[in-house]
Amino acid sequence: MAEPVLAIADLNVRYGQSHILQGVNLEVGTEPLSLIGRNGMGKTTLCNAITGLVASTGSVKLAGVELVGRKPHEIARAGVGYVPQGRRVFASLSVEEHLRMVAKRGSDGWTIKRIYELFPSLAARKKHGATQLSGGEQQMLAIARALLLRPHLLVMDEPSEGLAPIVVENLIETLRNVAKEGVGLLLVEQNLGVATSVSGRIAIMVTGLIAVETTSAELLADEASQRRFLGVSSARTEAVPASS
Amino acid sequence: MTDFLTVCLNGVTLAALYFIVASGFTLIFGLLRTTNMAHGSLYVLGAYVGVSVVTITGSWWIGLLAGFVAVALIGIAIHLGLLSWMAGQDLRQALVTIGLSIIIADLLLAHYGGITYQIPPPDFVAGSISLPFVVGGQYSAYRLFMIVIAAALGGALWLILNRTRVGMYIRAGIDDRDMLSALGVNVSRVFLFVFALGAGLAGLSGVVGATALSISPGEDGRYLLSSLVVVIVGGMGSLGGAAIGALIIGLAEQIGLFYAPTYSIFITFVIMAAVLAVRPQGIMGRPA
Repeated sequence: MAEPVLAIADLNVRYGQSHILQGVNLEVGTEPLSLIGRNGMGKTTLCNAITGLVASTGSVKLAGVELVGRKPHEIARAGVGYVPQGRRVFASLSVEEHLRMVAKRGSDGWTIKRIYELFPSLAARKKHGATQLSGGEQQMLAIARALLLRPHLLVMDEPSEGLAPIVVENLIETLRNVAKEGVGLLLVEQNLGVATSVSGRIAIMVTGLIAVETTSAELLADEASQRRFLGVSSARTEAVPASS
Repeated sequence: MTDFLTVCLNGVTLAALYFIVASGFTLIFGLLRTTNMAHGSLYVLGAYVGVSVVTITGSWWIGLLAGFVAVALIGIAIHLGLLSWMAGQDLRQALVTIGLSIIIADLLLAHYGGITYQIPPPDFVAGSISLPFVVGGQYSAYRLFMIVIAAALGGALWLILNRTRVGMYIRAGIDDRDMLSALGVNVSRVFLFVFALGAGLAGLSGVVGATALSISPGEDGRYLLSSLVVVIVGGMGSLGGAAIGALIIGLAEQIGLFYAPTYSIFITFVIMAAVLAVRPQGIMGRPA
């Protein structure tokens, strides 16, 4: 069997006295994986550990290449694209500058032209400052600049947070398209509807550990688990269409 | 009337020098938020390098280049050896760079002695130009040339920051350093480049200043202070702000010196206090 896109083994993160990630094991293949869990369970810390923004011990392998101990820019160049929580677009840069700054030479893979085809609303606002965009457009920009790295894996931290429902539907569509391009996708979400719509596989994080690995269909049918791990029931998420 | 116009022209040419010195300071202190209290020492260092190189080669331009390159290299050493180990720790940076400026001042005193040097200007601006509206009808061509240097430097820095890839890295890195590194950019190297550029500009301004005025021990404090005031009045990290700040301070100093010599320095700091009271982020600064 080929190497998984991402293989995490016994990953630990400590901040001073507190032990945030307590031996995480997780694999992402060519199929998207959603990671869900309540606030404070360590989901964002896991993203930061993968991208090298916090120090960790253990193993994170991207297509067999060890990432732990490498600097964030080396990890990004190795092929990990990061779409952080809160989008974190650069206030001093225009939309076009965001893209030009990251874009690589050559016409293989993602180019600025293809990005504008995928996100026409960004093309219409090239010269605008990034913080003048709406929340949904900022999210598209954050995804766009990560795609321009031509990553093997996209790590996305709560992309649907703070977006209007109609924009969320658009986002789900985009994420499905991205996954079809052969980019590995690790989607961290609090919104069960988004998570189950984008990926068939779901991992649930509880206090720094992967507590359960399941499928979208099973989780949607299991209200007790939803309540236990997320504090929600599917009644709240039915508005969003499930993955076909 | 000619008195006033002459004083104003003196103010503008002094402002040009202040801008050239402060442009490096605004990169390091305003953009990188590195507290470099050795900026004045880097100015003096560049001036002495200029003195030596111009004496040996006879070329002002080579002296200018040498002042820039030598001090940029020293800036790289300071950043790698000292300041990068204390990122974000203002007080520690301030103390270390003050210590550094004392060491540099003593080393220069040991080597060059306490005498005053002046660098001869390049030939094409060596004399004076006749200007009907100034006192005596003549004005130093080199002092006017400093305005050209300041404008060219300001334009070049603006282009680097706003029209190049490195400029995008710099602006993005200041907005959100971690995010930029997660996009594959080696932010440490970008910031090292900015520090080296800022230090090099201090060295270059030393050559420019030692040609216009002179260089002697103790000048470091004066230019550190002028840079601080210019950047604080104009707004941290803004090139346009540094230009406006330099104009205000240069004019105030010269007008004060002529019409109220006793209060000249006082006026400069009244302006700074007033700006801080009304607009703490400086005239062109963004609120923190």
